[in-house]
Amino acid sequence: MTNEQGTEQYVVFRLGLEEFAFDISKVKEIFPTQEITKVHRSPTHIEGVMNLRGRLVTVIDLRKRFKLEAKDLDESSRIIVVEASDAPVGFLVDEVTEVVRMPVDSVEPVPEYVAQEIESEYVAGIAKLDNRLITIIDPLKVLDLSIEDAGQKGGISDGDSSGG
Amino acid sequence: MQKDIDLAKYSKLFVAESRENLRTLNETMIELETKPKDKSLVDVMFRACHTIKGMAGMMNFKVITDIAHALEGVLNAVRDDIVEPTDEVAEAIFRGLDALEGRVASVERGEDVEEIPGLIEGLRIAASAKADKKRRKKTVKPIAVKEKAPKEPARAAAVVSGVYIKFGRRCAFPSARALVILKDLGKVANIVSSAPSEDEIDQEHVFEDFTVTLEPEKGFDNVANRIAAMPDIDEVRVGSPDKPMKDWRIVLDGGTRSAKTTADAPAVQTVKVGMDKLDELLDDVSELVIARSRLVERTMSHDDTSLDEISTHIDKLTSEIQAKVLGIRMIPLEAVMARFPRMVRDIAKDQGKQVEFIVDGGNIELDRTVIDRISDPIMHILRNCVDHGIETEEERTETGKRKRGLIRIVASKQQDHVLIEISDDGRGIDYDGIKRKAVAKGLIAQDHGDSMLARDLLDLLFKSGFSTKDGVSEVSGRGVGLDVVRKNVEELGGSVMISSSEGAGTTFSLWLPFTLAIIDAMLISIADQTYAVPMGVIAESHRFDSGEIKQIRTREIVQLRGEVLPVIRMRAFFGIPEASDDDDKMSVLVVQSRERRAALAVDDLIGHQQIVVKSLDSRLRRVRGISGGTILGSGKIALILDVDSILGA
Repeated sequence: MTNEQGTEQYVVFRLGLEEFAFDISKVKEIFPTQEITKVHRSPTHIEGVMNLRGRLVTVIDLRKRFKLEAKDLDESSRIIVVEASDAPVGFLVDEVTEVVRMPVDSVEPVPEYVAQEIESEYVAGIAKLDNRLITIIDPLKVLDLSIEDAGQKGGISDGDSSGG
Repeated sequence: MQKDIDLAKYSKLFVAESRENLRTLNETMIELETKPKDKSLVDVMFRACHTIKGMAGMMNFKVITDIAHALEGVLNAVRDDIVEPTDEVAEAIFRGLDALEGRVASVERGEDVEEIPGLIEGLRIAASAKADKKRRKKTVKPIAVKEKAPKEPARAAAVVSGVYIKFGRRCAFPSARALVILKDLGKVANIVSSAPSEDEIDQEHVFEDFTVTLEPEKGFDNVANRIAAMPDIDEVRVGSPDKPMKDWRIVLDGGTRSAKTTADAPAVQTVKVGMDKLDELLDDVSELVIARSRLVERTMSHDDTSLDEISTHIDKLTSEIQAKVLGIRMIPLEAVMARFPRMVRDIAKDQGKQVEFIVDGGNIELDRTVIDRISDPIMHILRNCVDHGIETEEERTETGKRKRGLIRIVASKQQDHVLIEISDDGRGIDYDGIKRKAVAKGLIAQDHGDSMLARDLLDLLFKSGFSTKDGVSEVSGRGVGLDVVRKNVEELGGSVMISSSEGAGTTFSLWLPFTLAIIDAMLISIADQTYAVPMGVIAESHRFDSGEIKQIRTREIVQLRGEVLPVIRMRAFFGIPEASDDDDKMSVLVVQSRERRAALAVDDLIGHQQIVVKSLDSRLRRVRGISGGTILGSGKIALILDVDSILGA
C-alpha cells in the first residue's frame, strides 16, 4: 500500500506498560519468539542469535537496551526484524500490538523531559493516538548507538581463571 | 577506413589483458635482471609489451601506446646489445612498467589517462645510454617475434593481397582481436575490405575467422608475422585474393599452434564463471548439506528401507557435490604471490640492499576467500623482512654473511592447514630492543620486561602501535602492521607465529585453513547449548576423574601422559555457574593453538560432524570465545568456539 496523503504506518509494540513504534518501512518481518541461542560474553543488551532461514541473526533485547527490568519470554513476545546496513537484526519486544496509520502531524518532537530519560538520538518523535502516547523509535539509530555500548555480560575477565 | 568506433565496451578486456601482460613483463624483467644475457627473456617481454601497445592503440590510449612504444625501444636496445638490462636501464624499464600499470588502472577507473612528464624521455635515454653510433635507432620498428616466424622470408609481391585469420577456440572476444588486427594492418597497408566488415565486427557478430583484402605497403610482412604471434590465433594465411585460399602462404598453421598449446597445457574446454556465481552456488550447497543432515536424521527414525536407500544416495551425492564445489573455488597461491618478487626487489633496491627471493609451494591451492585475504598480510611481512630483517651489504659483510640477503616463502600442506613460512637470513629480532621500546611505550613495566620470555616478547610485536625500528621508513615501521597481519589471519581462522634467533634471521609462520566454508568439528555441550569446536585445534578428548584435577596456586591443571595442561572451565569462561550434578567425571577437549595447549572442560562431548561455517554479524564479531556459528540438522544454532581467543584470555 502506498502512503495516504500525510500519513505513515507504524508497527506498535509494548515494553512493559510503555508503547513504542517503528516506522513500518524499516520493518522486514515479525516473528513469534523462536529459540534464541545465547551468546555469552556479548554486550549485555544482545539476547543472542536466531536462525532466520539459514542465517544467523543477532537479536537485541530492547528491554535491556532501554535498561528496563528483564522479563522472561512468553507467548506474546515477538521479534521484529529490521534490515540494518550490514545484516538483518532482530529486536525482542514484549508484544506487537497493532499496525496503525497515523497522520504525520500527530507526531511531535521529543519533549525535553523525555529526552533525558532515553537517549533522544533514536527517538524520532512522540505520537498521540486517542489517549495513548507512543514513542516512535528509529531502530537503525538504536543499532548505531548499540555498537558503542561496550558493556559485557558474564565471562571471566582477561587473565583471571577463577571467575564464575 | 578510419571511423570512430565505440570501443568503451572493450575497456574491460583491455584492462584484464594488459594486467596479464604487465605481470609477464614484471616477472620476466626480474629474471632478466639476473640473467642479462638471456635474449629469449627479452623476446617474451617484447611480445607482451607489443600486445599492450597494440591494444592501447586500438583503444586510442595514446599515452599508453607511447609508453609501450618507448619501452619497446629500450627492449630493442637490450636485444641488440646496445644496453645491458641492469642498473639504470632496469630501473627505467621498471619505471615504465609502473607507469603502464598506473595508466591501466586509470582506464579501469574510467579516468583520463594522463601523461607522465619526462618518462618517455627517460626511456629514450635508457635505450641509448651506451649506444654506439652505428646502431642507434631513431624509430623503433616493430620486430617480428623470431621463434614464431616462419623460416622462408616471403615477399609481399602482389599489389592486392588477402590475409586470412582464424581465431582460436579460446579467443574470448574475437571482435576486439579483429579490431586490433585491422588497426595494425591499417598502418602498413591500405585496407580495401574485410569480411566480416568493420561494422559487423563492431556489432559483435560471432565469427571464427576473418579475411582482409588490402594493398600492402612496407613492413607488411612484419605485421603479418606479428599477428601470427598474438595469442588466441590459430591460423594466418597470406595470398592473392584471386587464388583459392588453400594455396595461400601459411604464416601460422593451425595444426602446429594447437599442437603446441596441447603440449603447454592439457586442452580442456573451459568456461569463465564469475566468482559471485560460485559464491551463490556454495551458499546453496551449504544449505543442501544442512538439509541432507536433517534428512538422514529423520530417515533413521523411520523403518523404511526404500526411504533409507534414497537418503543414502542423496547423502553420497551431496558429499560429492560439496567436494566439487569447494574444489572449484580453490586457486593456487601463485595467484597472490606473483607480485611479490617485484615488490621485494623494489624495496630492497630502495634501501640499497641486495635480496634474493625464493618462492616454493606456489602450486598449493586454497579457497579463494583465503587467498584474497592473505595477500596483504604476506606483503606486510615481506616488507618487514626487507626493512627490519635484511642488513645492509656492509653489515652483512662484517658479520661474515654473503652480501645478498635471502628471503624465502615456503608453503606446505599440513594435515588440515596450509603453513606459509616467510623467512629471512637477516639480523633476527632484537629482544632487548623490543623490551626497551615496550617499556618506553608503557606497554609493559620495567621489571616485568626483565622476566618476560622470548615468546611473550615476540607477542608484543603484534600489539597495535608497536614498531621497533627507530625512525619511520617508507615501507614499514609506521606502527600499523603486524597487529593488522594478526587480525586478518585470525579472522580467517588461522594463526601467526614468529620465531627468531639473533643474527641468524626471522621466520613468520602463517597457519591457514584450506577453506572457510565447511569444516570438520566436534560438537560439545555447555549448559544445554551445543557448540562446535573445529577439529583442527583438537588434539584429543578425554575424561578425567575429579580427583585427577590438581591445583597449582590459583590454576587448575590436569596431567595427561606426563604433560601438564591448564584447565579452562568453559562454564566459568562464559560466566555460567558450574553444574551441580553428581557426575564426578570431567569431559575435556585437549586443544592447541599456536603452541599453547590446554584442557577445555565442557559438559558433554556429543560427536563429530561436518559443519557449514556461518559468520556472526558485526555486533557479535568481537565477542571472545566465539568465532561464528553453524546451523545443525535440527535447525538449532551451534556457536563455534574460538579456541585461540579462549587460550589467549
